[in-house]
Formats: sequence, structure tokens, C-alpha cells
Amino acid sequence: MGFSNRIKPALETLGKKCTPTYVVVAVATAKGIFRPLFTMMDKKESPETKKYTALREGMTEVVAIPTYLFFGQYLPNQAVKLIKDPAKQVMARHNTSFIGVCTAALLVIPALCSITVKPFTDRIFNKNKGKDIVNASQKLDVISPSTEPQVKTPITQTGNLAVSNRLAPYKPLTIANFMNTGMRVS
Amino acid sequence: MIGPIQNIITNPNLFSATQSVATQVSVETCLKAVGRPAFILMDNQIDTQTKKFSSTKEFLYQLICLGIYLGAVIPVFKKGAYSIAKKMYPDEAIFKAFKTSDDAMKFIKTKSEKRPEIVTELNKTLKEGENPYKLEDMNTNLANGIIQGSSILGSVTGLAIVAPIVSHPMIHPILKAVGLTKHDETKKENLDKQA
Repeated sequence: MGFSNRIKPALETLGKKCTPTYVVVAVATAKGIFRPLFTMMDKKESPETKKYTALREGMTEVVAIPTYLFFGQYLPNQAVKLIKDPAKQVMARHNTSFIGVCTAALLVIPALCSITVKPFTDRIFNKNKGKDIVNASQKLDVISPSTEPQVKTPITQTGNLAVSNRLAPYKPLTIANFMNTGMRVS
Repeated sequence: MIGPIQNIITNPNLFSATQSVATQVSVETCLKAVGRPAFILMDNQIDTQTKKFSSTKEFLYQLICLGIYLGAVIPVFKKGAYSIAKKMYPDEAIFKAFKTSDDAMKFIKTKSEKRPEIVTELNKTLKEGENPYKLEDMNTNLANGIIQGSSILGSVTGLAIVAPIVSHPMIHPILKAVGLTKHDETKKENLDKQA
């Protein structure tokens, strides 16, 4: 029995019953593998951004696959129960699957992703950021007591720095300084 | 309430129009091209410049996906798979009778009442000594399975592998030409101008 004869029943089944779910699930699976892979291969982005984007892309497809299966397979099976005519049941199954897949792609998956994926990725990355902060603080010597540096010349009570001779800001002496001081005699 | 829903889901026109994988994927991509940018534009949490940039980027990406899919992937995969199937199943009458995948697809889509006429016409074109085709020997499920299977394979290759590679160097120059850049880039540019 050759390869062609082995795959023949599968091809005949696909030809007999080709629901839209098969193609969208196949594309979502491939996207779930290749998109994070391409993102991680990008040399221009920073490692942190790459990890975040790859995780988000992978998670999106993880959410998409069961959603497509629910709307493309489970829902049509339930919808068929409404139709009594067996000839129309085939049409109803296919059409419901198509409408379900379109609805899932357009509305349900973006909504589910905004609910689940973003908080999930944020949680993971914020956790890591938190850990980094803790590690950084552990490296710093913030526990051992520090000694206050002694000020040799105390700052005057008034707080006016100009009063203290040592702390007074430097004023360059110019001719104008001499001209503006002392009693003026016209 | 149930009546109109029943009418929609049992619509024979929708059923026949959405039989092929190419149509299903095309419709889905068109919906994504319209819907996703619309969702981005409706988001109030991001600023106008980012909204414009992201929505145009998404629209262009889906458009490029559709173009690659319909223009390059599907014709190549359909023709390729059909010619391979002809070699794999040389005894199958349907592959002998129809030279191209399009001809086979026309026969598959034809209603079963009209199929005998097509077979009779095919038999008229046969040379002397060749065995006439019989309707019972036409394995439409196998031919359809090969065409749809190749379309699925083409969809996976086109949308998950080829489209991201091709669109990446195309989208940013187009966006720049239109005058759309990332919000951060615009800020930097403004600062440079000010400096």
C-alpha cells in the first residue's frame, strides 16, 4: 500500500466535507508557531520587546484555536438541531460554521485577547520587572548604617547664606563694585 | 426570531458561494482588513497618531496578505497539487477527463442532474479505441479533496510564512510615504526640527 493510497481516504473525506474550521485552525496553528519564531529572529528589536511580542502572538493563537473550534464545530452541531429537513441540515451546518468562523475572527477573538492576553503578558512581565527591582535593591548596601558627615561651619540660624562669610557666594570684584560703594560726592 | 435565523443558515446561495477554501479565507481576510482597523480607531485609550498608524498598518498588512494569497499562493498550489495528483492517481477517471483544476472544479460544482451531459460531451472528444468515461467512475470527492487540501496548504504557507516576510519591508516605506510614523518617531523628528 503506497503513500497515495494511504492518504486517499483522508482526501476523500476532506473533499466530501470541507468545513471552514479546518483552514482557520490550520492557519492559526501555523501562525502560533511561525510568528513568535520570526519575532524572536528579528535582530533590530531589544530582547525584552521580542519576548513580550512573541509571547503575545503565541497567546493570541492559543486563544484563537479553541474559539474557532467552538464557533466552527460545536455551534453548527447545535444549530442543526433547529432544522428538521435532512437536506437543509448539511447547508445549515456549513453556513453556521462559516458565519461562526467569521464572527470569531472579527469580534470574539479580539475581545477575548484584550480580556485575557494583555493582562496575562503584563502580569508575567511586571513580575519579572518586580524581581529585577528586588534583586537590584539586594545588591545595593542599604542595610548597613551610615554616618552623618559633620559640618565644620554651621549654617547660620537665619538661613541666609550671604550672612556667613565662608558660605557666601563668590562675587567677582570689578570696577563697578568700587564705583557703587561708599559715599557719593558729586 | 428563529425564522430569519433559519433562513440565513439554510441559504443555498451562501452555501454554494462559500464552498471553496479560497473564498472562505478571502472573506475572512476582507473582514479582518475592515474590522481590525475599525476596532483600533474606536479605542479611546490611545492617542490619535498611534491609532492612525496602527490601523493603517493593520489594513495594509491584511491587504498584502490577500494579494499574496490570491495572486501567488493559491494558483501555484492548486496547479501544482493537481498535476501531482494526476501522477499519483493515473487510473482515476476524473484526472484523465479534466486537464486543469479549474475544469475539474467546474464539474464538481455542477449539480448532479447536469453531470451526465458533461460526461457525454467529454466522451465525444475521445479518440477511437479509448474507453468512454462513466459518471460512476468520476471520484469528485478525491479531486475536491486534493484541490481543497492544496488550498489549505497554500493558506498556511501564504498567511503564516510568506505574508509576514514580504509585508515587513513593504509596510513601513508605504506608511512613511503616506506621512504616517510611530508616535515616538514623530516626537523625535519634532525635537530635531526644533533643535
